[in-house]
Order: sequence, then structure tokens, then C-alpha cells
Amino acid sequence: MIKLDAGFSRKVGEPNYSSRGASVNVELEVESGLIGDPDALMGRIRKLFDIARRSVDAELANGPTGGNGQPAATTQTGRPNAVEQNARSATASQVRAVHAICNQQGVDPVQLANQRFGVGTLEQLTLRQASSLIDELKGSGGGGR
Amino acid sequence: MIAQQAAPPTSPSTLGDQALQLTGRDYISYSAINTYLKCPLQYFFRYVAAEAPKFVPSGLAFGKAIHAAIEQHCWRMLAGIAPPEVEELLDSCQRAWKTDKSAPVRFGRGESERSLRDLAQRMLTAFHESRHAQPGGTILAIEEEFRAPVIPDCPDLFGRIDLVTVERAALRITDYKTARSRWSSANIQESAPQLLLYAELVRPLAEELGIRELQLEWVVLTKSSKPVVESHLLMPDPRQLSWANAMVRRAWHAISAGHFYPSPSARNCSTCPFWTPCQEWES
Repeated sequence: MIKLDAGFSRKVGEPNYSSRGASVNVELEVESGLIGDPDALMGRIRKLFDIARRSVDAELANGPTGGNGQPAATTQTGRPNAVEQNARSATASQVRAVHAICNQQGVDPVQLANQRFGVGTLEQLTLRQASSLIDELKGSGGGGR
Repeated sequence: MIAQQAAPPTSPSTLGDQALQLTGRDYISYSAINTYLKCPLQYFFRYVAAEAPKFVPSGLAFGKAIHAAIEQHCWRMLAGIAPPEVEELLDSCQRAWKTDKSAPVRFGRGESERSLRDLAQRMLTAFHESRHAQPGGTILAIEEEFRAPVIPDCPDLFGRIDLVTVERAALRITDYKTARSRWSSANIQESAPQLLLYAELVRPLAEELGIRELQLEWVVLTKSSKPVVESHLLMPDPRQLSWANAMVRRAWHAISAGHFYPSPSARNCSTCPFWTPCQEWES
């Protein structure tokens, strides 16, 4: 038998600079014959990670900020709410940092910002959203610090 | 008897227009006001007549270059990238030194580009080894521009703030300074108005983030043979803030009324890039 162990963790920003995180580790034993079929083995590993990731996302979506899977400051349509419209925009250094980390991790920063906060450009992020995104990106292992 | 009536307060946009007409900017900055306080005529040449300065004092160019290196350091910390080594900091410093070509640099006695490079290396090494190279908390802003109508009867105040961090439910404003020697209480007193006013610029952000405590800090790097990096904290004091507000308001009223005159002193004149037009003033 081969033992597979996949883990996934994610942290999301909360009001007043607190944060909330969830972490899942999934273990699975598969038949040792799979070692001769790398594609099938990779498929099992991917599936395992997918289960861990979806479980973490579901847990975070049910937390105190959301319940609808959206971050607290964003409406279900992804458009900024009234509080967010008056919020200070991301600072120039934050925008530059998001670009740099995403570049390092091979992630499209605009797409990521759009997925998380429903914005079309990084400059449309609020300061708080940008800070949360930076924390998340740094936490996902691309920082190298 | 004629009843005295208080003049209606001028709206911020009118004040902004007034500033724009006078100086080409619709705001005031603390450094401009400070220039006026040191020498009203130097303020006139720099901000009203927009005379091109004949030179940049080495101290000013050097301070900007050190700031550029620290900015690079802080930015790497924000992005979670390994902090730069001293050589990288020195490269940033030299790039900034070479890029700022607004006027030729005038060196002080015994100074040269080489001696200032050596000094920068010593200072940046001291910074790199100090605890200040690892700012605590979350970095929110580096060299960020803030602007708000924080002083009554004055145009918007504009300030570029070196570093804003949040740590343990407090928002910290850090201002980096280079100085000939370690700061005394007189240096703190002299620099306090600027930091207190910057705190007012940042206060709405603190409120937005639900943070009540503001911490004000200078990190001072000495330009000495053995540079020292020291931190000084300033407690926000409403009386001191009120004093700073009054000082800036009075200075702005004097500026807008056209009160420009020289204030000769060894400290002001030896590094003044407007010496020539000053000598020709009203002649």
C-alpha cells in the first residue's frame, strides 16, 4: 500500500487586523500497483488536495465574516458596499507588493483580486483588502522570507 | 459701538484656490511651512517665485538617498522578500543620489561623493544590524501620500509618510531622519509639530480600521563615524497639536498676506540655494 498525505491551509483577514485560518490534512492509502502508473497516482494526489482545499474554503466561508463565501466587505455581486466605497484605497506599496508576490508565485494578480474581492484592478482594492491579500499570498509559501 | 463680527470661515476649496494661485499647489506641506518659519524669503523664492535653486545642499540629497534605501528595505519586508543586504541598500542609495539631478550637489567642507558613499555604507550597515530593520506588525504604507483639511483656515495639508504599520491594535507612524548627532530633547521638540500633524492625516485611516491608538516614532540615523540608529517616541498631546495648528495657521496667514522678508543667520544662509537672488532682493 502507498500512503498519501495531503494538507492545505488558508488564512483570511478579519476586521481590526485579526485573522482566521483553517487547515485540513487528509490521509489515504492506495494500492501499491499505482506506483507503476504515475498519471493515475498524480490524479489521486490532485484529488486529495482538491478535497482538502474545498474543505478549507467551505469552513472559512461559514465563519463569522461570511456565511455566503464572500469576504465581509464585499457584496454577493462582488461590488463594493457603501462602507467599502468610502474606504481608503490600497497604498501604492501594497499594490506593488501584490504584483511582486504574484509574479514570484506565477499567479495572475488581477484575476486573484477579482476572485477574492470582485475588483477589476489592484488599485480598486481597499487598503484592508490589499493587506489581507498580501497576508494570504505570503502565507501560501511564495514569500521566501 | 460697532459690533464685532467674526469673519465667516473660508471654505477648503477657496483656501485651496488661494494656495494654487500663490504657489501653484492647492495644498500646503509641513516642509514648505517650515521653510517659511526658517526664512520667509527663501520660501518666497522656492514656492512663490519658483526660482530654480542654484544647488542642492549635500545634506538634503544625502537624506533623500538614505530614505530611498530604507524605502526599498521596507518594501521588501512588505512583500515578504528576503530583506536586502547592505550592498543592495547602498545600490538603492546611489541610484537615488544619481537620479536626483534637479541641481548640482554642493558639498560641505571636507565632504566628497566618496566620503558620503562611505558614510552611507556605515549608516546602512548600522540600520541593517539594528532592530529597526525588522519593523514589527503589518506594513500598510511606505512613502505614502496623505492629504486632508486638518488645520482650520488653511488649505489641505499634504504629507508623504515614510512608514505606517499596525501592531497590537495600534497604528504606528514612523518617520526616518538623518542627523549629525544623536537627538536631544530640543530636536524632538523641533520636529514634534510635523509628526503630530502627520498623525492627524493618518487618523481617518486608523478610525476606518477601528484602531484607537496612534503611535508616533522617529528612527534617527546619525551621520557619524560610528553611526547610531535610535528610536524616539512621541506621545500625541492635544495641547501640542493645538500649538502646531496655530503655528501653521499663523504662518499660512502671513504667507497669503505676502509677508516675505529675509531671516539671515549662519545656519540658514550657508546652505541656502537662493543666496544670489536674496542679495539682489529689493535692490
